[in-house]
Amino acid sequence: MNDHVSEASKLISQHIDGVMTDGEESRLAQLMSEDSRVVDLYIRIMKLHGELTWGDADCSSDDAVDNADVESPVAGSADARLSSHGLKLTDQSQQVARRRQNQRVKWLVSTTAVLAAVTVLGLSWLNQTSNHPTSVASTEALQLPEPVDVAQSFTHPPVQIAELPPLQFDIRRPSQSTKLPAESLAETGPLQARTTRFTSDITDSQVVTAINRRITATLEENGVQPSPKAGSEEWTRRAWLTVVGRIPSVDESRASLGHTESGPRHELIEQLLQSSERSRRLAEVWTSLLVGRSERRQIDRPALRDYLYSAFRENRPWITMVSELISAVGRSDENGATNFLLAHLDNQATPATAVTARLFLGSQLQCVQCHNHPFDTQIKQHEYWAFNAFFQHTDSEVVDVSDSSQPLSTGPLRLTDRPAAGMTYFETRHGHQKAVVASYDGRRIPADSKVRRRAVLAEYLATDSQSRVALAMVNRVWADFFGYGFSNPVDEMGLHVTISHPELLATLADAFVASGYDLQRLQKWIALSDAWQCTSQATQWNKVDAPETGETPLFSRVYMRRMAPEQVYDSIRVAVRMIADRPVVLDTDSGHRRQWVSQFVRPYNTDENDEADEFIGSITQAMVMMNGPDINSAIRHASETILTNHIRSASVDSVLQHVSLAVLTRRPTVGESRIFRQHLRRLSRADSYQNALPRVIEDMLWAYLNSSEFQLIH
Amino acid sequence: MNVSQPTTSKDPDFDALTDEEFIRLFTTTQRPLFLHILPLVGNGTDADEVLQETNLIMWSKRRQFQPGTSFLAWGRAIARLEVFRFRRTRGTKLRFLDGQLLDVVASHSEETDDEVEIRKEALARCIRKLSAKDRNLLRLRYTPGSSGDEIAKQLGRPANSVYQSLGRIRRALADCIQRRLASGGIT
Repeated sequence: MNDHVSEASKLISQHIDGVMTDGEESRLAQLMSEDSRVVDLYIRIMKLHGELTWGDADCSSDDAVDNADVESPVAGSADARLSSHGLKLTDQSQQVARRRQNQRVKWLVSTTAVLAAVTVLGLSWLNQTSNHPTSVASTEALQLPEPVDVAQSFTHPPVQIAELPPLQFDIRRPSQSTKLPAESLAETGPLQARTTRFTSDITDSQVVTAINRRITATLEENGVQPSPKAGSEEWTRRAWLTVVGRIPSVDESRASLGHTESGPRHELIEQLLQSSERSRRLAEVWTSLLVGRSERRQIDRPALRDYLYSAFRENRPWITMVSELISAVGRSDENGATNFLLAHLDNQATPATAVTARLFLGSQLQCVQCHNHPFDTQIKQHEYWAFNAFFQHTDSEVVDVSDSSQPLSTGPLRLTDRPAAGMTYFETRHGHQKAVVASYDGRRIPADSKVRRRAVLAEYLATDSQSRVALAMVNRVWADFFGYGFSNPVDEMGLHVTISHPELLATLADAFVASGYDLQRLQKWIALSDAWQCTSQATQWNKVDAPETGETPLFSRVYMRRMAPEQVYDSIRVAVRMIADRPVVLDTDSGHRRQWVSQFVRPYNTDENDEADEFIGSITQAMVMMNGPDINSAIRHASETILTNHIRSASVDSVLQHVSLAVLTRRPTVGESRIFRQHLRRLSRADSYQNALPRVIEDMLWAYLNSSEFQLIH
Repeated sequence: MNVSQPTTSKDPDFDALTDEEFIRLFTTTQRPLFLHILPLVGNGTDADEVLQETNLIMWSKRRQFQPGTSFLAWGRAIARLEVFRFRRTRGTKLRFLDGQLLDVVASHSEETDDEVEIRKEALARCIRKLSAKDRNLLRLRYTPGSSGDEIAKQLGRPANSVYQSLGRIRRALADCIQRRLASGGIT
């Protein structure tokens, strides 16, 4: 039967390339009508063909391919994103014009371009030396009736994209000394690269010093200088967004604004790490990592989230959590940890194998399921199945809730083990049957043993000779703070992947293990490192440090990245409620929040940068934000409140300052104040001052919320 | 996709989308629609043409779209009719996709239409797993205007072997995407 699929796969490809004979065409028709798997294959290959044709993937070179996953701060900003959309639209509109000469579609496309242009605001902040006035994203522009030539509007974009630093392709760029240690790793393994060993009495300053030394050493080797220290406004906002997942309220940010000493920064980090909001964010991110974002039947996401929340809240050692997730038993509604494996047990537990390896060990094994690893000669197909063997004999069953009127299929599941002896069989690419026993890190469970294999795996992981669980977590947390991890992607640290700072990674993992897998401390060390105090603005002395071009990151600054949708939602909520003088109460998991977030079609909640390209792009985001009736009414309400509370007692400038502080955690620039006043003057001419003011405030708030400055973590 | 709570809105145009809203939805559904049409007509040029026809109809019937319902499903229904019209007027080029089979393909195709974004991510990652040689071949093939025979000439390989390689690469990518989707979608 599999022959059908193979045969059809060749025919389909021939069809795509236009080299199918009539006889072959009839044969394909026959196969498709006989075997529904062939129909599926046909659709999958055709969609792949479509995606490749549409230009979803760039295959141009290794580096460029890596870029497909990573966006530059430039490309990640709303503006470059828009221009790439624009190009696509231009292509299309030309095709249309050529074929149809149809003005309507062209107009449609043009209007999109205008809308696109409107969404761009707050760019000038990206380049503060710019003298160009920022245009207020006024609502008038939305109703522009004149068709605009698409190609032209994108050749001469209304924003100053050209002023962003150009990408560096200087071949004289200092060589990446970091590649050498990475190569030597292949022989020694990451942890052997360490030079210092920590004991359980390590102090925070020991680790922070070690981080600083390593980062500085690599910067010096590459002739790169770190960016200057970030101002309090920038740093405070970033700390809130990174640790608790939202912007601070005006009161919260005021508490630390104006201080730049290390004292207040240290205190703020402590305070944020202790907050319940930090645990809430981690629980949300990890729920999505563990079971996926989409709701699945029988997977009890709330139970899993509750489990994670309380574990993060009490700062349970990470290795204990990993162990609990891997060896959990019981009902999905009673032991939330069971939901991780319950979600991945199908298909011979291959998803369980792959996800466990990827999330907890930073190793992508999916491909070696069927053949030896193409690049990493040390990972063999049999190792995959030997790892998979730990999850064999794990089973799930529907809990019989006899007193419930609901049908069984909606009841909770129970995760169990059916310990049994025996080997795990798999088939090589050549069709040979092979058998393996469960083994990891050189230790194996004998074939005749009837132990609970998952429990044994948990034990092996906790005593792993290379502490892979620690390495993977350090890398992930680092990426959470800096936008890039030591490897790219963050969950692939196999031997064929370049590790940017192998010694630092090993040192941090070592410290993490020595601390008893203390996640709070790990976060603190990174947050207090010198590198994380830097501004996200590149300087001329470190603009070559551009991981978004596929280069190994040097961490000369904190890289800008897009907020995750959850962060956008929570931040808008905080900003709008503050302006409306309502208490900042967080919406933890309302249907509205879920729905709002889900419209950004992003399969997971994390904000590791390598995953940020899931965000559909700012054009959609901005437009949804513009059009959402909830946002509109909230903004209207906020601007009315601001008027009643502030206008009589304070100046127009102070109103703007309030809005700016609430949304961007900073005071308005001179340019912004000028635009605000000009806009007010223009509207007051047509209408009374009393009527014009709320509209201007509304526009300003709306413009700030839609700016790339608001939507980026910087 | 559509945003919530319109019930309190006092907007007189509440029942119809504004043009801006329409364009927003329109823009986001272009790629999913293309990907839906392609398996039904079999090649990119025809799919493009059907998509453009579909766009015209969608635009002219935009007042008939009911906000709150799925925009993509609406577009897909229009596209489906356009596919039939296209095949009738052009004479079918695809003998293997006839009558019943077309319906089967269309309904199977719909099932995966919602995975567009996840598939995109999976594709990017799967391409990275290809060898440099395969990636290069893929790039050559998907450079606009290229043909298999030219690539063969350029690489100094028999055309037949180029087509075989392309077949193998496509199958590997399609399977890789499938596996990634199966592993929970979070990768």
